Amino acid sequence: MSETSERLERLGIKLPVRDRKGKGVVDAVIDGDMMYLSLALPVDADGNPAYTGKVGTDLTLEEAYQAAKLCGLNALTTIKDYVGELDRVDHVVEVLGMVNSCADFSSQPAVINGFSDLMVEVFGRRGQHARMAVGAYSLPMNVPVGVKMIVKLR
Amino acid sequence: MDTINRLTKDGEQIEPRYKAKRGIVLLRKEGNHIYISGHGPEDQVTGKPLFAGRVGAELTPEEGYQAARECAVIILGALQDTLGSLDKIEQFVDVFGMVNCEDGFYEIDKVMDGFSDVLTEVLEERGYHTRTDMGTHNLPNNNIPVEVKALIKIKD
Repeated sequence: MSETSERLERLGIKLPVRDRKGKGVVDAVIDGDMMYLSLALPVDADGNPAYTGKVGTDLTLEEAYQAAKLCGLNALTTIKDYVGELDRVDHVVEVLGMVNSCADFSSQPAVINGFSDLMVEVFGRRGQHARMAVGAYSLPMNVPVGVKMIVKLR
Repeated sequence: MDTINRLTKDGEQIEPRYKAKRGIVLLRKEGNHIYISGHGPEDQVTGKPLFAGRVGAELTPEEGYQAARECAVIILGALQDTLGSLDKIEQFVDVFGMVNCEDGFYEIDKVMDGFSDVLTEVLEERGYHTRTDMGTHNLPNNNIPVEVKALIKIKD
């Protein structure tokens, strides 16, 4: 046992145990002038899901559209946190939108429009992007939508 | 074989039978980046799955976590083979993980933490990355539980 550990034991001090799992995941990585974002989820400021369930059974298309918009707001917050000012975004490059949807639901693009519309409202033409919208069988915390994006900085 | 896709065992170059087809390469170098194909918990020579089944059904979340760790070990092994040393990795950039889920299982992020934990244990800060987790209901090769693709940056 190390000297410090022995002293802690002698003093009867027990350090709290923290869960280190998944700590290597960060919200954004800036690689040159490209910025990669982790999957943005429709969560509130405390990280709790604002929407849960499958689109088509538990949620309507309109609710899912709003959830996708919230993913966009969270993604913009991440960018602002990392680079300070959204003017630093040269343009949105690529977006992957995933919709936790029931078996016969096929309007994934209409859901992810909630995200894409927000980007164009905020950035104008700079918000236009290549996009893929897919149905997922499951998403973390059972949220209905998750969106991953790559932006170019200037 | 493309030098970046060579596989060595006991100092000898061996031909991976697995995925040696249809223009798929396990690693594609592009400038200072390497695009890493989807890797599952599979033996890299025989292709035999080390874990099979959906998380939440055939596999427990803990087994899923271990399978995700295995994916990271396999990818780091391929990078070590290719680069000679993991010191050449500047940064893991972006990771995309798919978890084969049973109905009602959505602790996908907890499963994928297995992958991320290996990266930080081995590479520390250089292993920090962005990550996207997706739950699916089917994956290749006898329904492997996890498949992960990644983008990394290497030093000059």
